[in-house]
Amino acid sequence: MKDNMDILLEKALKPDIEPDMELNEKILNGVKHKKKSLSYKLARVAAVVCGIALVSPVAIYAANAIKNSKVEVSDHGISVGGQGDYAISDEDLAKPWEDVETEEIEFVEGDETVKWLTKRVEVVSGTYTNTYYAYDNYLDAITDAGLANWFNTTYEMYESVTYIHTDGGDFQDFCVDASLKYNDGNFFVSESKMTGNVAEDASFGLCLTNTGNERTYTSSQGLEFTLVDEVKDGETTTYVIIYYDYYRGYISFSNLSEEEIHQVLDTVNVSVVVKEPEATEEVESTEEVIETTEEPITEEVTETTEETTTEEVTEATEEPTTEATTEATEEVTE
Amino acid sequence: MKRENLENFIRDYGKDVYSFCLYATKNKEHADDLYQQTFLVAIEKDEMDENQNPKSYLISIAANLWNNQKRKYMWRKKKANVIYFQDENLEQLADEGLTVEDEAIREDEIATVKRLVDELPDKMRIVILMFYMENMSVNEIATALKIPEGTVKSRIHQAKSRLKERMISYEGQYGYLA
Repeated sequence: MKDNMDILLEKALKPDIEPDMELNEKILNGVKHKKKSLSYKLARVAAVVCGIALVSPVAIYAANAIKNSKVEVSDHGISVGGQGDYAISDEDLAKPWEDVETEEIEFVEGDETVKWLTKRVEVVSGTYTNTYYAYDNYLDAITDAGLANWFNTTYEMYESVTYIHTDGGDFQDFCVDASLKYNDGNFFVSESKMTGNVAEDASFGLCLTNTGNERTYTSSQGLEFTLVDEVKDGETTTYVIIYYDYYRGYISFSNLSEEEIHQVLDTVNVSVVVKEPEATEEVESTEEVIETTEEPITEEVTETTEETTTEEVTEATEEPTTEATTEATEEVTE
Repeated sequence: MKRENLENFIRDYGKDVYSFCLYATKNKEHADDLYQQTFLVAIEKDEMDENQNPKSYLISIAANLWNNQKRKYMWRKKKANVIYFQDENLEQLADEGLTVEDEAIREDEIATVKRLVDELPDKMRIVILMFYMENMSVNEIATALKIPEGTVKSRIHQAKSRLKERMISYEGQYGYLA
């Protein structure tokens, strides 16, 4: 039997909003005016990102968001950032990923004019493109992707270094995945920067299984990391999530000792770039920035950011060495 | 699917599907995308049958598309973009087919309920929209979202309880619920 709330809800939620005629015409004509698929995959570990929002100008601020972002650990993964509806739940992390259809539309080999070895372009689900550039050098990939080098030392490539550029229409994602050598073992690092319609408090999560052994480690740089183990097929992999503003990523260790993991983390020295709030509407994030600049590490980060990261971010390109790439493509085509 | 059939489906159910998309995404641009995707998926599957409750079928596609999308990327806008809260829409809503019952429900009550529904967690909101906006049965919702009927009932119950709680804070204003 209906109560008053039922009646009120029925009245309030009448489906009475007409779509634009133009929209219907486009469907009838089989044209999708701005199709945006939001599915996305990172290499190795499935990742979830929540928070696509309006764009505002990018500027440089000093902050230490790692210290201010609480890492949430659950049975099915780890996440950081986001509040309320934008937080990633354990249920979100546990949901199975659907297969996506990909179609390779281009493959070319690099030449002496570019740093990458190969370039492969694929269309995913017919909606957005992923361009994969293979490198044999981590720093080259980081530079071409317009990302900051998270390490204050140089690690050699172990198996692969890949820069993945995702063009999602109103957002762009620049990601470098790399397996790097350390002592007799190796570790994997995935670093991304998303621009476009991205909320400044977007959350980021890794989908894992059988997580446990959560612990923290404060590096010699003064950064506090949350370490979480995943046990899968009898093997233990340790994950550390790194997230600050547009930058997000993780480092995973599968065959290094705890001491060696700490040694690698001691070399992590992130520079922080945050989005400049629009004066009319981003009051909240302004406050956040003010708060974060009061952190002890602010000065150090400020220096690094202003000297190093500004240019890198400004010069971030969608495609590394565009002209050379075009030439290489033409050559192959011919 | 023949163009003529598609035209009929859009004519008959376009408003239902679009309303659902707009309330689900809370954003016109994303609603436009979801609306188009819904029909494109339906066209691709080519399983719509006038005798098999096409509205529920379309809403199911829309709900699942939205669930998949927001799971991977959730959108957020800081600007006031929830266009169905605009005054003209409320006036339109209030002016249409006024009955004695309609008159009893004031414009601001409707606006408040809309806002409160908008604030519900996504899982509850989707179920509420399917149930109250699209008149889908518990069974249809459960089938569409691939969840048990009990979960659907639970979400409706929880959502209503939450809405009532919030409405009580307007008690002086809303004797209607008392």
